[in-house]
Amino acid sequence: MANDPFVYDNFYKINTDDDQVTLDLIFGGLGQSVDYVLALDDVIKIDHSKISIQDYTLGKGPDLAGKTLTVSGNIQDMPATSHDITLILRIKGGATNIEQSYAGEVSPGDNIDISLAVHFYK
Amino acid sequence: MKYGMFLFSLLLSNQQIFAQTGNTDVKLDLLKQPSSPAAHLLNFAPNSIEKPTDLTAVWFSFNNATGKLTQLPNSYALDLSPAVLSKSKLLSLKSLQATALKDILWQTFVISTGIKQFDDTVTKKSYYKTALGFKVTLARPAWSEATLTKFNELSVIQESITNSNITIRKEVTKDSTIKNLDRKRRDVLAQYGQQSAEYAAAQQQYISQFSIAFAKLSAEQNAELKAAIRKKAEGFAIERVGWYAELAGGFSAAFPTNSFTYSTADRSGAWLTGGYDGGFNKISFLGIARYLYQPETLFADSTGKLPTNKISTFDAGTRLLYVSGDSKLNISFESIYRSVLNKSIVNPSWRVLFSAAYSVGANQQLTFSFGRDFDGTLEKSGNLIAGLNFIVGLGGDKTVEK
Repeated sequence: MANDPFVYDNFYKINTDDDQVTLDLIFGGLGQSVDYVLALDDVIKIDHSKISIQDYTLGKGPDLAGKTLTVSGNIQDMPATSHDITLILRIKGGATNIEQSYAGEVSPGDNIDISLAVHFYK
Repeated sequence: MKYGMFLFSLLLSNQQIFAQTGNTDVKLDLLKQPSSPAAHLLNFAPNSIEKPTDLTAVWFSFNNATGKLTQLPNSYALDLSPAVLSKSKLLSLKSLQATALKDILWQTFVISTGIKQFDDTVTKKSYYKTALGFKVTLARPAWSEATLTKFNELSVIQESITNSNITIRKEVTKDSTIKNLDRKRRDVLAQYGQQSAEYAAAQQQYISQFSIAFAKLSAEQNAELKAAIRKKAEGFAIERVGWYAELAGGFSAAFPTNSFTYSTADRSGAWLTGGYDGGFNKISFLGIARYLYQPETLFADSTGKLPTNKISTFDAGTRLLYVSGDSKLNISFESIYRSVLNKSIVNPSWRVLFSAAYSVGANQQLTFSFGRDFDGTLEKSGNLIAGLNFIVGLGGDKTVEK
């Protein structure tokens, strides 16, 4: 049976001042293999990365208004690991901070799809 | 008949060789650092150690062991990895390629703890022991070329799945049902705001349908890629080539009266392991040093009966191992030193052993070993403690343990 994908699709209210909006994408567990593409509208910002990111600057709030951040990828369970697959999405710098955590215990060798989308609005 | 006699005499000579070497059961692996130092000091079986991967699991485990915080557990060992618990950004497979000291320390540092109830053989009363330990890797070599190649092959498939998921997302968002639900949640957002119950309901409806549609398309379009990556992942093992060093330590305390105000030092130990790893089936060198205070038995005492109260021991060993590319030739040189530091109840002793084995056919192995035993057999008698040995096995292909 296929595992449920890690899906996020929601709106994020930005501040109208010049605060930088930052992103964390933390992939786990230990030794699991990840691949993802991060894009802001149709502009690819991170192309097929294999590592987590912390405090990644997306831009100033007003510059992000009306744009959509997408993260598409997958996490592959590897042998000799715990078979716990996790993902933490954090966005800071807007009207509120968001933190969304995903976790799943998979069968050895399973692969979990990732599709995240954040729509920035004023 | 003659052939049978020949085999029988070979069998006898084999027995004689083992009788001469005596301590063949004393292997360098006995000195290796335990997977969990604290649990080792309290004699826990490795599979009884809890290793939670998040704080919720830590709390659940602790709550369970203490009967919802109403009692001390009778037997409980816990290994905690700060990197795993804090959801460090250094957990992904590619991050394990790191060779920088700070990354290695953070990824490999593990705190081990344990508590266990023991019975006093004299007073017949139960009392507690607790232990605290750590282990960490100080140096770690880079991945081998073979591992990098396998990782790259895996990555190619993973990138294809990512590209497919980008396409799937676009397809899902073009679906008329999804578009309607998206339009609806946008309207509700504009009218009631993001914190409203109306928006929460509309958002839930959207994300639910989106997830179902995404999973359905992924199952259809990614099936072959997922089967291929599963196969690649199953054959993946990290091989490192180069120098490495690992350190572990721990101590345990006893509470004879079950009062936290009165405790006595129980056991402690430190393990330093290092060497050169040549990779799978290549040359490798291993060096181990171990210090123990009040061990369960003295490694230097072959009878295993001498008291260990307030005794410190130091043991060390090295091993050089070479396995040929076709795995037919296996050469090893192993040395072990064992001693008692603070009392002269056992003299220090050492053992060296050179052994070689060559497979000459299915279940046929030519072996040779030569060395000096702990009791100084070679020095005293001046003869070899082992000789050339030819082993013929019956049945299918099997490896012969040296």
